[in-house]
Amino acid sequence: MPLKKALSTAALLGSLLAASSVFAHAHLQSQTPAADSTVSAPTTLRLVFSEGVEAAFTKVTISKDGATIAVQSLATEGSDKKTLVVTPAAPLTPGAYKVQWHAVSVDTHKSEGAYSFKVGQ
Amino acid sequence: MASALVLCRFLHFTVVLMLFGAWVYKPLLLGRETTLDRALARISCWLAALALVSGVCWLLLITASMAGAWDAAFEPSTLRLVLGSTFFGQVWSWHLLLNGVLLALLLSPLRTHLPLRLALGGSLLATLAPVGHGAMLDGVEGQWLMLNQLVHLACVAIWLGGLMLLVMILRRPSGHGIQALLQRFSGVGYVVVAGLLITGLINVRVLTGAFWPTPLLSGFALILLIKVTLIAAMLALALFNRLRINDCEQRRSALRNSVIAEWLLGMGAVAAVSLLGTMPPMIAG
Repeated sequence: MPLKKALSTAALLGSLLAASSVFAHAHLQSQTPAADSTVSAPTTLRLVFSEGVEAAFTKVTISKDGATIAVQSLATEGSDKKTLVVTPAAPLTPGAYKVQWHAVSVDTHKSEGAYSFKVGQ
Repeated sequence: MASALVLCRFLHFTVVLMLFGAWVYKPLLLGRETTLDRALARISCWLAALALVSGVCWLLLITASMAGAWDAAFEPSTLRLVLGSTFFGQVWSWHLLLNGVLLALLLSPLRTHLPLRLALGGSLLATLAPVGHGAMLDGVEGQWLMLNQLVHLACVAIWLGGLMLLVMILRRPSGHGIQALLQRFSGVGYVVVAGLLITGLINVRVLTGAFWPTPLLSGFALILLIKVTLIAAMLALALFNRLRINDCEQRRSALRNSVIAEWLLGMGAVAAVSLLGTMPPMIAG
């Protein structure tokens, strides 16, 4: 009996240690074009979150000098609900852009943030 | 919006847990005795109706929260979008459907069919497991976390539902052999509490990435601390009653009061967890 107890305790502790840490509420982990970078005109923006997001309720606003750029589509990539692909309606012209996002994660929590990037000549 | 959602979660979780738990404990505790059946059937009906109402409110509140506007909760198109294209909505359509079927069952002559009630109640509980933080991991890890959550919920349900049943029994003027009954209650109780503690610890570890979240006295960690304190108090009461099981017949009213207290503490813990489900377990950075 003591052995059985020891074994199950060890198994439990093992599973606890192996568990990876995560953030609830979606946070932006990376984005293409990267924040504060200067790139040549991208056709899409990719936002990678720390957990899956609901594309139907996630909003992304791209603006240039305070004017909002029309967005053609906003969708997660297939079964990977962590990657959000934003397609502007027209190619981005050179200038400084600001991206503001409001995400609703699959566990229904909301989070938001913003970053900027530049499109070079 | 957030506080209404917490209240709604609390109400919904409580009634679903009580429903399932009382049905599981009833045959374990009373066997084929039917003295409580009518009272329990009436309570079950009310609980199932309350579950359906709070479940629908939960959907409306989530819709308003996702859309960021109160009036969105009553827009058919937004509701369709939530039910059809979000993970929560897909789970919740099943959940509400099961709840409706369960209520219909309780109002029909089939209500005495225990396996059917248990199957529906169990499915109702199971569809509660994926909502909330259970959904935040994807793939196999996420499924394990949801399974863990399901076991956790089942243990909580059996404990709280059992306490409700015990209160109902103790309120009756004697009759049952209380000591044998309490012994059966505590036998199941050991298993349930062990399951509850283990799955709870796994939840904390996975959600916060630590054995205990920090800073200790703010946000998630504080509420978790309150919850664990409530559970510790419940365990202390349970242990006290277990140690004094031999003279339970003499102090029946004291026993009843302490069981009611334990049950209320349990509700407090569910209230705390309803709040936890809306908070981020870890501060990013």
